[in-house]
Amino acid sequence: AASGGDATQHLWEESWDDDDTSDDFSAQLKEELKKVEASKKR
Amino acid sequence: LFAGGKDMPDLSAFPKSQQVTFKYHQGVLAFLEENYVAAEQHLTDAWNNCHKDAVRNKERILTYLIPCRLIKDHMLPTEKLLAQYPRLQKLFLPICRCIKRGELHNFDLALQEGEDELVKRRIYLTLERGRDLALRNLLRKVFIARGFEEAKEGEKPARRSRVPVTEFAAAISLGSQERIDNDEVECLLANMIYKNHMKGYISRQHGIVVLSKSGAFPGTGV
Repeated sequence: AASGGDATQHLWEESWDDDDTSDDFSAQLKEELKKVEASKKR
Repeated sequence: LFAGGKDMPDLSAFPKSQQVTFKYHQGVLAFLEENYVAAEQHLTDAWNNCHKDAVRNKERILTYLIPCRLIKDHMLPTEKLLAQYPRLQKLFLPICRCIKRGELHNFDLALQEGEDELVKRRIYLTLERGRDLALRNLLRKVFIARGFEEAKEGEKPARRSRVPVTEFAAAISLGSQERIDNDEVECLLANMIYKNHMKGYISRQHGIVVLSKSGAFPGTGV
């Protein structure tokens, strides 16, 4: 009746994303950070 | 459940199905007492011995094992795992996605959305603590997005480790579109540092956070 044993590695992952910054949110974030930096220079 | 424990034969003397049930309840009890170390142990035992076709039982075990792993080990269930249990998927997937992506505001919304069901299963408060992880991942994204210092000759480029508090503030208010003042952000940052989700210190004088050059976000590889 053993189950899950071998598959355990595939069931859990670390709680952070990889360094993929191509998703929408990351893009939005980059824009926002640029704005902050720009307002500082002014 | 624990009373008379000493008078009982060893657990292994019972049929496996009863062992699983016992471990499950032991796990849930420990969970409710916020003893997540013991809870994880018992629930994992139950999970490993659970009959592979006992879907409903596995679902029950995971209901508590998932929040447990989240808080204790900062681990999330994979989407593949959740896909096997539609009920759990509905319950956990939005929250897990937000944590992973660092979408703080959406995390709050997802938690609100599932509130009734989560409270009923008594996992709301535990999951709420996952907000720290969402925040950590958001701050980490800021750090990643800022890229690298110009590399000195012959050295590996280092990430830009001095981050203005205002940039963290912008990231935090990005989702909710609510302005948040710098003192409040500093407070959140200080908490993150205290909880060892982030390594570094805040220079209030300069309004920057100086992050550790070796592992600014412990356990995340940067």
